[in-house]
Amino acid sequence: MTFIWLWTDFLLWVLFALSMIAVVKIRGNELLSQKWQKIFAQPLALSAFIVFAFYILIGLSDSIHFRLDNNTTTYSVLDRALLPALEAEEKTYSTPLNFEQFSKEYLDNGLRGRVHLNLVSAEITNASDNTKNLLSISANALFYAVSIFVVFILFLAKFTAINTKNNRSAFVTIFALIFFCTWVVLLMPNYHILGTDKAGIDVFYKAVKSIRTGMIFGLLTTLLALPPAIILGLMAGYFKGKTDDVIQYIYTTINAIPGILLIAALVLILQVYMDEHASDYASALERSDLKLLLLCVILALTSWTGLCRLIRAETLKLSELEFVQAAKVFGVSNIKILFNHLMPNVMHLVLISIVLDFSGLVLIEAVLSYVGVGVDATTMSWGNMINAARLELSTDPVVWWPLASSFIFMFILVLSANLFADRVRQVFDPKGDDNA
Amino acid sequence: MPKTLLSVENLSIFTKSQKIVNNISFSINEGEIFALVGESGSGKSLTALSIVDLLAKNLKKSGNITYQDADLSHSQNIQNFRGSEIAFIFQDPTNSLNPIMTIGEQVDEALALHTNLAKKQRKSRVLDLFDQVDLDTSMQMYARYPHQVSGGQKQRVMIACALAGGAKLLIADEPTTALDVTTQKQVLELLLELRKNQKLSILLITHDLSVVKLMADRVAVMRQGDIIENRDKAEFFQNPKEQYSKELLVSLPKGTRDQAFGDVLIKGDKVKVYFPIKTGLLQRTTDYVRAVDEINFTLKQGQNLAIVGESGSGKTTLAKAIMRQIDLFDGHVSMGNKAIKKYDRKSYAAKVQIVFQNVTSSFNPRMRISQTLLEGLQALNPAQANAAYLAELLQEVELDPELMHRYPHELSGGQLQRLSIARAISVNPEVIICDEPTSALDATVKVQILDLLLRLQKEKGISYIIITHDISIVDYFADHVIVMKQGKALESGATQGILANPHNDYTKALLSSVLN
Repeated sequence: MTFIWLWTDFLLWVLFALSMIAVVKIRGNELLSQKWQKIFAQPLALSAFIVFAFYILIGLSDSIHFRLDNNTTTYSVLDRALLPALEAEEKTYSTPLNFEQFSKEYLDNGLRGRVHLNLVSAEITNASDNTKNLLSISANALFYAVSIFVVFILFLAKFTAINTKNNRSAFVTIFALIFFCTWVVLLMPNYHILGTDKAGIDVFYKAVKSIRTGMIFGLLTTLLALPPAIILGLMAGYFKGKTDDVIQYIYTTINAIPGILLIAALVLILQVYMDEHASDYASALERSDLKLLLLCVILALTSWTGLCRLIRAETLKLSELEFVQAAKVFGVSNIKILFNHLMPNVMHLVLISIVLDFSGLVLIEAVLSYVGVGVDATTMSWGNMINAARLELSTDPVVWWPLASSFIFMFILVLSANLFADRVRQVFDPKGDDNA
Repeated sequence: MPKTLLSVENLSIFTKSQKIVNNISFSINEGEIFALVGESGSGKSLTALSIVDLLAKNLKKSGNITYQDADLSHSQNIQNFRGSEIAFIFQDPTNSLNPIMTIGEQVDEALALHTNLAKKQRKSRVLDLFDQVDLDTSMQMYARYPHQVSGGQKQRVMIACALAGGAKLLIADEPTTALDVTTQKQVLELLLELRKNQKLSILLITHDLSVVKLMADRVAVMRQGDIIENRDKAEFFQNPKEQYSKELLVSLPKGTRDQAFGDVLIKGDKVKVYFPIKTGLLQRTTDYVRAVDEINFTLKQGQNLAIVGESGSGKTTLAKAIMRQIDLFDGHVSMGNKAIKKYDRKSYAAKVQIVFQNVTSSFNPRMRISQTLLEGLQALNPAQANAAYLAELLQEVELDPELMHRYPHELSGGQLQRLSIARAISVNPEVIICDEPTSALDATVKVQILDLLLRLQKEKGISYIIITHDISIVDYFADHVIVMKQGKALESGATQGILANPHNDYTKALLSSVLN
């Protein structure tokens, strides 16, 4: 078995390591840990965070790629977990949790009928059998979920005192997630949970795989946009004068170019370049991964200006405050003033804009792929699924499940990110009312 | 027996977790000026806001508030009284006026709300009100925007708005704190006159006992949510009952400075700080703002120099020029025999230090006190950058050394100002510039801070340049005074001489406006 590290894998894990370091630092800092406790004290925010963390977990498990020795296909950990869905090949569309295909065709016996799906057990031949089977699997899932949940609670109770009253919503969320997982695990070998698409590929698999793409867009883009935004914003606000003029000139110029146009132009250039140098990439996976990363870079290039502007304004205000003046009087160097005095005092802006921008960027991915300048066609993403749904929605009867799946997955991610972001903003924004 | 206009019984104000105002009761008679005195955080402003039901949403109140015969305890009743019967003026008139409406329109708006006058009648009524508050009664004044009039005039407009509704009770929350001393007196006199002519009752909220002495009929002292003393003014000033009231009344002793000084430390010769006004497409400099214009000064070792003036007079700019934070346009400042420009950054910083006005922003909110103090030491005097020296410093400014492990928001204003003095003396400077060191502090703390500065002067031979608008500090603290207005020095000389015998009209006005 050989591990394969894609660029985005590497960056995601770096980001994960950085956030773990941040967690340790926050725990050591009284002021900050108080603020975070305040964030999690709100039941809604805590539940949103648990859902969000679950998404992150899936994204991370999809970011460890390896190749088995006797095989040429590259798998991620998530792929192995979803193997039944990945390997079951159907011919074409089927509705969620069905046992036969969506459309009729001529069968081997010469009659017109619906082909039985490969994945579903051959014993199930009519709808009532199917419902019975589904119900029994669901009941099993519920039983397992309850047992796992009880074990989990007992395990947790060993380490901390559990206050069920305060954390009720968190426990409800955790139970819902556990139930979802057991249900998926039990159904997966027997059913296409969200049906199959035109090429007979499992839609649930596609939707889950898209989580990583969405996450990379949401997280890497902000990560790449942060350094220029913070450094240039601080410099513009602190040094003022000519430095400020130059930096303002740069970001107003970038802002004046329509974002989509710039992205489309750069993506097309990239496309041509990659096509001409097709032999440089070891596999299609690496190629599409690189395209994804470069798309993030392009997006970062256009999206740092907003935060930069905010930081500049805040720094202008801060640099007139007495503690900065006092440091100057003591002859503390400019670099130290920038990083010790000014940067920690604008970090709340950075944090707020990261969490707020995240959901926006996930949505932008969908828009770009829909327009046709997004990720590679072979990369699974919600945008690509929506793009494909254009034709599916015009068929009769309507093929609704691929669009619905991508919508639900994206909706839950964006909603949980937004709810969490809202709470973060409330607590960290000096003008926010934290009594809510 | 005068009639009671407003009575407050058992008023309490709570947050979720604590009681901020504690079962207080008081009443105000018709035509009476009732002063509520206390330091910041004592609950006096909340009390006032609760009367007109303007408390923040997270605060709850209980108790009875009766205005004439109406019960104001419930919010639905209050709307009928706000503005028409009870008017409110706030501390900062700049924030109370809408910057995009002319001042005439704002008074007119209040009239339209509370009277049935037609548009034309209202206009003449506005000018009538302008006359009552001693504003110019021309249409030019009517058409001015708030930024075109002075702070004192803005507060007059606010009072005119309050009168427009025909209010019988005026709640004035620190009405003159944001104003310069000379304007302060005029506004207070206007209020007194209105009380006399219009039988207005005033609930005056202030921390300034000199304002109380001039204005009030009755005084209530608030401390930590309780009214600890509620008495007639004359009685209160002659014979305060509570220890705390006595502390409030302690005023600074007069001129006790001896006159023996050492050599000249800093000398300024025709100091000018001009800021260019750039106009036109090519940003050519067409004129200058003369922030500091030909100021001469000398500071001798062990001497205290006071620079006095109103806001905008250029006194802080002069201090910044001495700190080398702003370049001189012309003129010369020297320390010893060398121009201050020729010192390198660090050796100058070790000689001249500064203590700021705004105590809360003097320390980085994200750093512990010890980190802030050590950072300065590391830059200038790395050998002494250790905890033992910090502990010594904190003891020097009469603080518990344990405080160095705290964050700024955990400390009081007085403690922070002591710490910023500790920061200044940590590098053993020869001169400390104090920019309004006590104006953000409460009265009782003010004296302590000045005494601390004087003690440090005796022990270490430090000289101070103190920038202030408070004449009482000058008398107590300074040996030499420069009176500044619009960048120019109007008068300069030994403190005793200037205070006893001012030559300049402005200085005279400044001195006479001190309310004692």
